[in-house]
Amino acid sequence: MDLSATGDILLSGILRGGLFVLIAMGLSLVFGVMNIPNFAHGEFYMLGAYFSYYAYAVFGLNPILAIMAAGAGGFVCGAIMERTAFRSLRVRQKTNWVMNSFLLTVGLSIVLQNSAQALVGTKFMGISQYWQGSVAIMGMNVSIDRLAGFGVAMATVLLFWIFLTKTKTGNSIRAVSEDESGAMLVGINLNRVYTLTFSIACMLAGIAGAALLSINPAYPTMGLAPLYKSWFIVILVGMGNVGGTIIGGFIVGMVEALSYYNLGAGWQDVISLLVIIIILLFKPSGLFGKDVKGVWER
Amino acid sequence: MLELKNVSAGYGPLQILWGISLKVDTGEFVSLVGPNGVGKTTCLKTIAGMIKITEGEILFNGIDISNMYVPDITKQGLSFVTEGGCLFAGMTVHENLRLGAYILKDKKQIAELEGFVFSLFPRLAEREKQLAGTLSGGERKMLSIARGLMSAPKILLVDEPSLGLAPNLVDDVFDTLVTLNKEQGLTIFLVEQNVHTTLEITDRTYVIEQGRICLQGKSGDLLNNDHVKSCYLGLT
Repeated sequence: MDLSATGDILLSGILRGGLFVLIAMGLSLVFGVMNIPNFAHGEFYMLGAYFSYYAYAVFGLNPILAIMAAGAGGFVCGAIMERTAFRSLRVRQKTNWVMNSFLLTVGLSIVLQNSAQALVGTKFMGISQYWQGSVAIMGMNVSIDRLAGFGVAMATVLLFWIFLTKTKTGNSIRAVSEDESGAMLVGINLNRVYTLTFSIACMLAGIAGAALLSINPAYPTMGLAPLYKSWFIVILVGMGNVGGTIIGGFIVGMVEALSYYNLGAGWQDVISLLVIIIILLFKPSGLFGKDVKGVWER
Repeated sequence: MLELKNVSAGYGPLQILWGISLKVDTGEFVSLVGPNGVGKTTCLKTIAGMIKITEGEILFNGIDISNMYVPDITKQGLSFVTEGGCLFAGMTVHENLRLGAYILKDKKQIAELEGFVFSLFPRLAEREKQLAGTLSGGERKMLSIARGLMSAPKILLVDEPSLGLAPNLVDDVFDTLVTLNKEQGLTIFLVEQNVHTTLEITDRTYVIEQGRICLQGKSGDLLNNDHVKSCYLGLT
C-alpha cells in the first residue's frame, strides 16, 4: 500500500463515516432517552431522500434549502409518529416496553415502506448531483457533492451537540436519559421530551437521506442498509451512548473504506461486522458502553 | 401548607398506606418516623405524585394535588429529595443544579440560588465541573438536597438523608436541614429511621406503623413517650 492509497482510504473513510455518524446518532438518541430499539429509523432516512428529491428536482429549491426541507419533513413526521403510535403504546402498557416498542417500530417500518411504494411507486428517484465539479484533495478527485454532504453532516452533528450540551431543552433531554424519576421531580414533562427526542432523531435521519441523494437515489426500501449500518455503530459503541456514535461512525467508515480498497466491493459489511464481533467479544457492552443490563430491566 | 386527608395508596393490588392523615404548617419542621417497610417512603412518593392514591386527598396550599402529574406538583413549589437522590450521574454538578432550577425562568434568581447552595455546601462548589456519578456518597446526598433547593421550593420533602452515610456526615446533613428551617424559614417534611436524632431536631413528629399513623405530637413529648422509648429508643 503506497502513500497515495493511504490518503485515498483515509479520505473516503472520513467522508463515509461523517454520514454514518449523522444517521446513527438519532438511533442512539432514541434508544438512550426513550428505550426504543427503533427499526423504523431507516424509513425516516428514506422519507428525507424523497422530501429532498421533490424539493430539489420537482420544486427546484436551492440544495441547502432542499436538505433543510427534508430535515423539517423528518421532524414533523417523527412528531406525528411519536404522538400517535408511541404515546398510545406508552399509555396502555407498563411492562415489556422494549420488546413491544420494538415490534411497533417494525410495524411502522413496513407501513412506511409500503405507503411510499403506493404513493410514488418503485421507481428510483435520484439526481445526478446537487453541486457540479470536483476538487483534488491529496491527489484524489472528490466531487464537491460528496464534500458538501459531509459538510452538512458535520455541521448538523455539531449543532445538535451544542444543543444537547448547552441549552436548557437539550439538557432536559439528557436528564431524561440519565434518570426519568429525577427528571420528573425537577419538573420536566416526559411526554414533551419524548416527542422532541423522536422528532429530532427523525430529522437527523432525514437530513442524512437528503445529503446522500445524489449517491443513493430515493426508493421505498432504501432505508434498510443505513438502518443496519446505524445498528452496527450503536452496538459497537454501546447502546444509547450518543457521544460515542461520533467515534463509532468514523471507525465503521474507515473499516469499510479499508475493506473496499483491499477486498473489493461487497465485502465491507462482512469486515465491519467481523470487527464489531471481535470488539464485543472482549467488551460486551460496547466500546464506551455502561452496563446495558439496567436498560433492559427497566 | 400540606395536608393529607385519609390517604390510601399502594403498588397495584398491594395497599401500603391505610387512611393516612397528617398536616405540615408553613415554617414547620415535621418528621415521619417508623420501622422499615411500613410506608414512610411510599407516603412521600404519594405526596410527590409518583404513586397514585386510591382514596382520600392531598391538599397543598389549598390546591388539590392528588394524582396530579409529578412535574406539575413540582411547579406548585414542592420539592422531593429521594433517598437515592435520582441524580443525573453522567452530568456535572453544575448541570445537575441548573436542571434543579428547570421550572424557574429568571436567570438572576437561578444564579443566586446556585450561590446560596454553594455557600451551604462548599464541597459542591469545589466539585462544580465533576460528574455527579463520580462523587462520594456524602457529596451525592449534598447534591441531591442542593438540587432540591434549586427550584426555590415552598416545602422540601426529604427521604432518609442519613441512610448509608458515616455518622459525622449524618450530623452535617441534619445541621443543614435545621439551618434551612430555622434561618431560611423553609418548611421541611422529613422521613427518617434515625428516631432519636430526628426527635431532637424537629418540631412535630408522626409515627407510622403498618401503614397507619399510630402516634403524633410534639417531638419533645414523643421523646418521653413509653411506646417510642421501648420500640425506637431502646429504653425501658
